[in-house]
Amino acid sequence: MTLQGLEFPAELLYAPAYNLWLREDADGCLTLGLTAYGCALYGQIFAFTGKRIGTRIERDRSFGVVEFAKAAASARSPLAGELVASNETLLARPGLINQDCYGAGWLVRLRPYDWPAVRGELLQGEAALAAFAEQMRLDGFDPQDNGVQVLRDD
Amino acid sequence: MAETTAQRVLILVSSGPSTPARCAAPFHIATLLACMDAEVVLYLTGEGTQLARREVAETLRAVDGGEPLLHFIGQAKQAGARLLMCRQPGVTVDPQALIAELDEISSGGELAQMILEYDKVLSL
Repeated sequence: MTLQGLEFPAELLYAPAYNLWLREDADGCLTLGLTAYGCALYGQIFAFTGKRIGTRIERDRSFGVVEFAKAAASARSPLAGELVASNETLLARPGLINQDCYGAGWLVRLRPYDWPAVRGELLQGEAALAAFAEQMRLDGFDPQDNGVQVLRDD
Repeated sequence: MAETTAQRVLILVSSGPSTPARCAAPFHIATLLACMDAEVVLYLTGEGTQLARREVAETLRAVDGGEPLLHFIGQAKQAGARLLMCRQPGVTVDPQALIAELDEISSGGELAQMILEYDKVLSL
């Protein structure tokens, strides 16, 4: 699925208000990452620092910080859970977030505390696209002005 | 490792216009800490009080060609940090000359209280 030239893989779950995608893994944990829209808003990302492994992340609280040109932003979680992994590859290659935000540029893995209750609040498919379209409208998003591009760190 | 309450961090900013290269870092660190859900107070003291003057904040740059200090102050404020300035006895301050981002002019005694109460105190 694409929107304003940005990719949103249909198989993933989305939390549009957080600009995050989520994938349920076989072990019951969730992988979280920044969406292509989030990358477009931030531009080139210079660093992502996740909180320590084992940290209990409450809903709507920070699981890490994203640093980009001239600014930084909190990466907030749409659900409560224990942080079980942070993508250590990003320490050396933060550009992976921009290059491959749905793959090698994932941010953290969480073990959710109440996944069945939260699962229904996340969006998928056309519902997710509609939510992102509305968010883009509210943000006044213009892909031409936001430098949507593939950035390399090598 | 539960995070039940936010850690409180006090950052003493004593650098000023005589060392511009040192002036942006406290505000950037405050931004990062606030993004990690810490409760952050930036306290301008000594020469650091000059940074609350609009003409200084709008023109002082840590590096040539970089953003003015006010940009970094704005980022820290946007992330949730509070900005306090030490009251200087005998010095008349024109409120109109200060940046709008300043939350409060505070006493040395209040600073001492915060130093005792906060989880972390940094001097930058």
